Amino acid sequence: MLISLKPLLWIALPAKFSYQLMFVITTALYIMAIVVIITLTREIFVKGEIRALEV
Amino acid sequence: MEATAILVTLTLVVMYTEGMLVPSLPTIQKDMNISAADASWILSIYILMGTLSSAIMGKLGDMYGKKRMLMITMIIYTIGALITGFSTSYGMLLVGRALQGVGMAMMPLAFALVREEFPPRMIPQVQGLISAMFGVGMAVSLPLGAYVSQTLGWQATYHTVYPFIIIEDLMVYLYIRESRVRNPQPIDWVGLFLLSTSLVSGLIAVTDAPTYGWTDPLIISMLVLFILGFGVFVLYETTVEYPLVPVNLLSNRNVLAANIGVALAGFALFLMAQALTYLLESPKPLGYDLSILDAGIMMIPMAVVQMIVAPIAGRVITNIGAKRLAVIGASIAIIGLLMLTYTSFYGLSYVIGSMSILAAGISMVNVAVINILVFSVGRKNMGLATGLNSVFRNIGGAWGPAVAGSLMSMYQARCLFR
Repeated sequence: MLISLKPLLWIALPAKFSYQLMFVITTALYIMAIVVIITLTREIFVKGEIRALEV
Repeated sequence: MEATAILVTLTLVVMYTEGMLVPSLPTIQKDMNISAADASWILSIYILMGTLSSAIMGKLGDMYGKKRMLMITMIIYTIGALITGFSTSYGMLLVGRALQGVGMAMMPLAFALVREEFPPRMIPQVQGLISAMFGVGMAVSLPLGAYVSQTLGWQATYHTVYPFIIIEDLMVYLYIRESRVRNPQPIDWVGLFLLSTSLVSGLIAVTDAPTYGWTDPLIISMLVLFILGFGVFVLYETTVEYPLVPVNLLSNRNVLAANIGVALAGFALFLMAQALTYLLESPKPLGYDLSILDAGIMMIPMAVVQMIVAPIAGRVITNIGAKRLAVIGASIAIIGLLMLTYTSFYGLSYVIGSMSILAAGISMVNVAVINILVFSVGRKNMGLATGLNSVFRNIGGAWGPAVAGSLMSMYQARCLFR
């Protein structure tokens, strides 16, 4: 239990652990990118063919 | 082919120059006696000027020829590198970096020239190849730049780069055909003023907040100016006939997704690069206490992974789909990042492994996003769309160093009181 909590405590103390905080922010940015891609994008390649919207 | 070869070597030169800068930031900070937040401006001003110049130079390229503007931006980059290399003060360094930023418009101009040479079906593979070359550039530039920087000083990297850029400029003059596409449009100076005011205010707010505090009237005013300025800029751009940034293209959902995607990825990349550098070079127990050279060598596996994964992604994308590739890539990047948050408990080989997983994910996302963009707009709008993409990537990228510098200044400020 202690082992699994240690990294969380590490993140929760930004004064000493700025790198961890930066990696966590970067993770959040990539999660946002996934949400944007899933909700907005229409697929352009189908079964090996380019289904280009406009080429 | 000449255009591709020149673009690849140009990428190598720029990667060499810029690749060594991030590992040298802690040294520059010490040499110039500046804070981490001040040091972050060395990156931010470059990206900021790059954003603005990419928007303008693309238009000037359409008016006067992309080859001509490419050559001019390369000369501006050389002058910038010259000033940076000989800078004796922080102010002079920022001027040099700002000029280098203006010269950064050479990349979208060169990409636009290449794009005119290839048929659409070849574009995914060519993009995979170019992405792989970024990996080669990193693999060569990081240890070499770090070696020169460590043995001769960070300024020496700039002194070694001028001959290469001058040779590149000559090669462009001799071997590249001038673009046949001409589309003269007036430059939107009002849009440029609104965008630069907004971005500069936002960056000042984020960078200086640790010094003055987030509730300081100056910081609050800057944040308000940033939000209002950006809102007015977007509204203004929808009303003018020839906007600086073609925001109407964003009504295409794929273009919108690709641009938000690159802005987030640009933000993430610069934040992560600075975090990794300080993590590797900070003294123990906070970091791994590596030299600039060792930190550069540590990043080689990342570059090699990128070199291998990007062309494979370019080949498999048509079968698995761009959307799926982007999601898989971002998920792999997240795994690498989560592993990196645990670095304090494991050794250097664990850090290298995490960084390599992250690099594989980033490569996939890059290849997927650029293909989503390129295949979602007509050929006549391609230049505008890639220019818009550069602007979004840089707007995202400009926040990375500012936030990183802000967090580290906060950390250093608190350390003083311990």
